[in-house]
Amino acid sequence: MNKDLWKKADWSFVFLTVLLAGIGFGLTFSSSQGLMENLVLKTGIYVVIGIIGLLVIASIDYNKFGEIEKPIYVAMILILVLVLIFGIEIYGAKNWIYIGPFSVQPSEFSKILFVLAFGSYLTRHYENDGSWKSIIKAFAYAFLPFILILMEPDMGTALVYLAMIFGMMYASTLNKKYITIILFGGLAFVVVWISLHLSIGLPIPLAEYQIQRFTVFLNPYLDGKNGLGAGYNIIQALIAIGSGGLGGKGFLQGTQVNFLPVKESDFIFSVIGEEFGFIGTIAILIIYFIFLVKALIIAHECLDHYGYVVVMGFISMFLFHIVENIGMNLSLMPITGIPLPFLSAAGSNLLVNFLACGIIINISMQRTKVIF
Amino acid sequence: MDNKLIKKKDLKNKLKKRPIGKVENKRIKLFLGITGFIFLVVILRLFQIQVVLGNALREESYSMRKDESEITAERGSILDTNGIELAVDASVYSLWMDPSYLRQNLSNKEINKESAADLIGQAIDLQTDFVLRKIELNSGFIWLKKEVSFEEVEKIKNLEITGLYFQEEGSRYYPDHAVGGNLLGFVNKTGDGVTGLEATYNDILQGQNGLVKGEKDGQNNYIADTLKTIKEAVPGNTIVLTIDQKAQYIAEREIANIEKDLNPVSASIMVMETKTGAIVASANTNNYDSNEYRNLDINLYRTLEYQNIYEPGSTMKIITAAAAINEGVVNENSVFYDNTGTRTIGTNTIKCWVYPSHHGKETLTQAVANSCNPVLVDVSLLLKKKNPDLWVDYLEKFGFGSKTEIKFTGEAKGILPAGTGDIYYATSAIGQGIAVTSIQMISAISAVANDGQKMKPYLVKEIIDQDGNIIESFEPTIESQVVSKDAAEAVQRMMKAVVETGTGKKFKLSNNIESMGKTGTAQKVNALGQYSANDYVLSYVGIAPYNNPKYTVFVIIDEPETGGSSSSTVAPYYKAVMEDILALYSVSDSEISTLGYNKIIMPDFTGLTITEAENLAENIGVKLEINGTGYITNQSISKNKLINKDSKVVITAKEIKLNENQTIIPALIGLRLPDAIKIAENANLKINFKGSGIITEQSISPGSIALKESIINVKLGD
Repeated sequence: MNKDLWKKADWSFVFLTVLLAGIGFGLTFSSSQGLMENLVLKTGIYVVIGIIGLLVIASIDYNKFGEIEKPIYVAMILILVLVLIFGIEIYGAKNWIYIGPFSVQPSEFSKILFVLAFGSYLTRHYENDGSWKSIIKAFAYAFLPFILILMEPDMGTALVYLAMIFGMMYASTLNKKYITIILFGGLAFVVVWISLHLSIGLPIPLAEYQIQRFTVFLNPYLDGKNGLGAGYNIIQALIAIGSGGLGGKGFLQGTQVNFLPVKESDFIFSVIGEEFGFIGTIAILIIYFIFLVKALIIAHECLDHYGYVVVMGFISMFLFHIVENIGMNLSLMPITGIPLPFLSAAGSNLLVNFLACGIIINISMQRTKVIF
Repeated sequence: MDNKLIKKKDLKNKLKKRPIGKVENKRIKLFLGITGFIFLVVILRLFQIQVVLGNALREESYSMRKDESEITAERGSILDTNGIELAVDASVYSLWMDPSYLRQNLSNKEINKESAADLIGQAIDLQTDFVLRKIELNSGFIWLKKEVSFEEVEKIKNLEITGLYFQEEGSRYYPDHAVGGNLLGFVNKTGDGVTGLEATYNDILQGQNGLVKGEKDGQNNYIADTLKTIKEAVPGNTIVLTIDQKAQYIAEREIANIEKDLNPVSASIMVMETKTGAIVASANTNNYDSNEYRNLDINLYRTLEYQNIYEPGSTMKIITAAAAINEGVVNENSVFYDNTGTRTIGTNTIKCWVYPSHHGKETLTQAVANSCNPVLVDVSLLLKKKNPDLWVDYLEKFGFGSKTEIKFTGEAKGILPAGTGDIYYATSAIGQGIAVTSIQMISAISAVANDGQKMKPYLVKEIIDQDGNIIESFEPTIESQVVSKDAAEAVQRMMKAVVETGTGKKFKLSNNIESMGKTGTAQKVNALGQYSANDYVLSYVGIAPYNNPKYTVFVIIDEPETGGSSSSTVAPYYKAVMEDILALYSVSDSEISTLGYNKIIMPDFTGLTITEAENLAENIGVKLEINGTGYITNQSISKNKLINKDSKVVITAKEIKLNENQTIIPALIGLRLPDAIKIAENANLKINFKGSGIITEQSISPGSIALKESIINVKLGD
C-alpha cells in the first residue's frame, strides 16, 4: 500500500474513530470501579490491538474482499457452526470461544464477513433488481448466517443482522417498495403475534422472559414484580440518566449506576448520563451523528457500488447498535444486550468496530481515484 | 483452469464496472433522513429525562441509596445473688465478605473465583452462582449469610480464604433453662424484654443501639466508602438479683412436685429475707425455658406472684390482729366468744370454717391460732369503732392496694375493700372482699415478723456496668414502722401458736427449728359472683426461725385437683422449701451462721473422666471417693439433691480399654452447640446437628465406645 493512498484517506473519519475509542477507554475508569477484572488494562489492550487491526485492514484494497466472496461466505458459516459446537455457554447462550486468554464472540466477527460477502453478492446480482425474485434470492443468501446466530441463540446479534440485511438491501438497487412491505409486514406480524400471545395465549417459540424483554420497556413498572423484575434495569437506567441532570455529577462520581448490572457494557450510556448529564449525552450523540454522516459521505464519494454497499452495511450496523443501545437505556427500545460502539467495554465488538472502520477508511482512500 | 480464471476475472470486472448511480444517491439521502430523525427523537427523549425530569429523578436516586442501620447494643446479663449467670447475651455469627479484598487475595493464591464461590457455597449451603455474583460485586462489605451455625463458622475458617469475616450478633441465652424462666422472662427478636425481669428492667439491660448511615447499591449492600458510624452502641448494664439460684431451684422443685401431686390451676412459692425484703426465690407453675420462648403459650407469660391478684383469706387475719393491737383496741389476751360459729352483719351472715360447730371462749391469740372468723370480725368492728378510716390506712401502710417498689412488669395493685360499711370491714378482716398479690402479702407478713418494720421488697441488689463497676447498689430499705415492736411481737406469738397448737400444726418444721406462720383458705368466687363450695385457694405463709426471723416462705396453691379446703395440703411443700432454705443458709435455732452458702446441689458426674470429675468436685466443693479408674458410671448421691458442702460422694468408675482408633462418647445433652463441638473435637468426634438451641438428644449414648471421627447426631431443642 503506498503512502499516497493513506494521504487521501478521510482523516476526519479516522479522527472520529480514535476519538470514540478514546472516550470509551476513558469511561472504563469510571465503569470498572470495583470490578473483578482490570477493565482499564483489558480495554487498553483491545484498543491497541484494534488500532493495529484497523491499520492492517485499511491497507488492504477492499475490492480484494469482493473477489473472494465465496471463501469469505464459507469462512463465515464455518465459524458460526464452530461456535455452536465448541462454544462456551454463558447465561444460556453459546456465543463465546476461548483463544488463549481471550474470549471472542465469533458472531461479532461474522458481521464483517457478512457485510463483505453480502455486499459482493448484491453488487453482482442486479439485473432483475425490480423483481420479488431477486429480493427473495438475496434473503436466501443471508438466511443461513442469520439462522445460525439465532441458534446460539444470540438475539441481539440476530437483530443487528436484520438491520444489516435490510440496510444493505435498501442501499442496493433492489425494489424499495417491496423491501418496505417486507420490513413493515414483518414488524406488524411480530407485534400482532406477541399481542395475540399475550392476550389469547397463541403459542410462540420464545421463552416468557424473552417476550418480556421485548415488551417491558413500554411500562417497566408492569413487569409483574412492581418494577423489581424485568423492568428493574430500565428503571434504574432511567433514574441514573435522569439524576445526571443538565451537567452531570462529574467524572467517577456516578453512584446510581451501581444498581445496574453490566453497567460497563450494556448500560454504559447510563454512566455517561449520570456523570456528564445532558451536555455529555448530547455531545456523544453529536459525535456519533458526525461519524455516521462522514461514513455516508464516504459511501457517496465512493462511486463504486461494492465499496458503497459495504459502507452502507457498516453504517446500518453502527446505526442499529447506537439506536438500540441508547434506546434501551432510555426506555425507547426493547432490552437486548448489544453494545454501544466504541463506548461499551466489549472486547470482540470493539475489535469488529475498528476493523469495520478500517475497511471504510480503505474505501475512503480510493474515492479520489474516481473523482479524478 | 482457464475457465476458472475467466470466471474470476468476470467477477472482478462485474464488481469494477458497477458504478453507483442516481438510485444509490437517493438512498444515501434516505439514510441521512432516517438517521437524522432517529437522533432527533433520542435528543428529545434525553431532554425530557435529564432536563425536565432531572431533579425528580436525582431525588429518587438519592433516596434509593441512602440507608441507615441500627447496631444492636450488647444486652446486660442477669446474675443471681452469687454472680451466677441466669441470662446472658450469647453470640450468633453472621458472615460477611469484603469482595475486593477477597478477589485480590484469591489471585495471590491461584484459586479462581468460581472455585472459591463453590467452596464457600458448599460450606454455608448457598448457591455457587449467588456467591459468585457477590464476589464480583463492587463493594467492600456484603452480608453473605446471617445467623450461620457454629459448624458453618468452622467450615468457613477452614477454607482459609481471606476476605471473609464474622460478625457477632446478640442473642439471649439462659444457661439454666427452666430455672427462673418465668421470673426472668424473655427477649424478643428486636431485643426488647417482653415478660418477667427482662421486661421489668429492660431499660437498664438494653443499652443504646448505635447507628450507621451509608449509601446502598443495587444489591442492597452498603457501599463501603459511604459507611459512617453516627452513634456508637452503648452496651447495657448487668443486674445482680437478690434471687439465689439454689433457693430458686428449691422453690421450683417444689412447684414441680405440687403440679405432679395436686395438678392445681396454678401455684406459686416465694422466699423472702424477712429482715431485708430481698426476694430469694420466686417461682410459679407458669414456668418455662426462656430459650424456647418462640413456642411459648401466651398464658404462661404471667408471673403470678406479681401479676395475679387473689382473695387471701385467713392470712389477712395477721394484719387485722396487728392493726387492732397496735391501736390498743385489743391485746393478745383479750377474751372473745364464738358461741354460734357465725356473725351476722346487717343481712349477711359470716360463718366460721368450723360452722356448724363453734370455738367458744377464746383469747385473741387462740382465735388467730384457730383462725376463728367471728372473733376476727369482732376485732375489725372494734377497730372501726375507734376510727372508721383506720383499717384502710393500715392496709395501705402494709402495702395493699398499690404496686410495690419493684414495679414488676404488669404488676397488679390489688383491690381494697369497696366500701366503708360494717360488712366491708368484717369481710376484709378475714381476707375476703379484698384482693392482693403474693408480693404484697409476703411483704406485709414479713413486716409483722420483722418487729413491725416494713421493708421495701426488692429483686435487684446491684447494677453493674460492662466492665464490672458497680453503678448502683440497693441496700435493704425500711418503708415504715407499720405497727409497734410490741404489737408485732404479740402477733408473732399468735403466729407461733398457729404452728404449735392451731391450724398450722402440720407446718411444724421437722428439723426442730421453731417457726411461725398462718394458714389461709379462701373460697373462690365463681362465675356467678358467689363463693364456691368446692374451689379454694390454699396458702400458707411461714417464718423461721421464730426467735430470729430469717426467711419468709409463702406458698399458694390455687384449686388443687384433689379438692379439699384444708390448708394443710400445702404443708409438705412449705416444709420442703423452708427446711431446705434453712439448710442452704445453715440457719439453726440456736446458732445463725453468717458464713454463707455451705450447701450445694449435687451435680451429675456420670460419663466424666476421673480428672473431669475431680475438677468439677473441686469447683463446687464436694469430696470424692473414687472406686476404680476410667469413666464414671455411678454416684452415691443422686443428682439435684441438696447436700452439705464438702459432703463425701462415692463414685464408681470403670476402665474402658480403647485402641488407638477408639474414643469415648462424651455427654452432650444440655450443652450449647459451640461447647459440644469443642468437646467432640477433643474426643475426635464429629457432630451433625438438627435444630437450634440446646442439645436435647444425642444419637450415641455417653460413655459408649465409638471409632474416632464417628459422627454423633444431636438434636437441638428450640
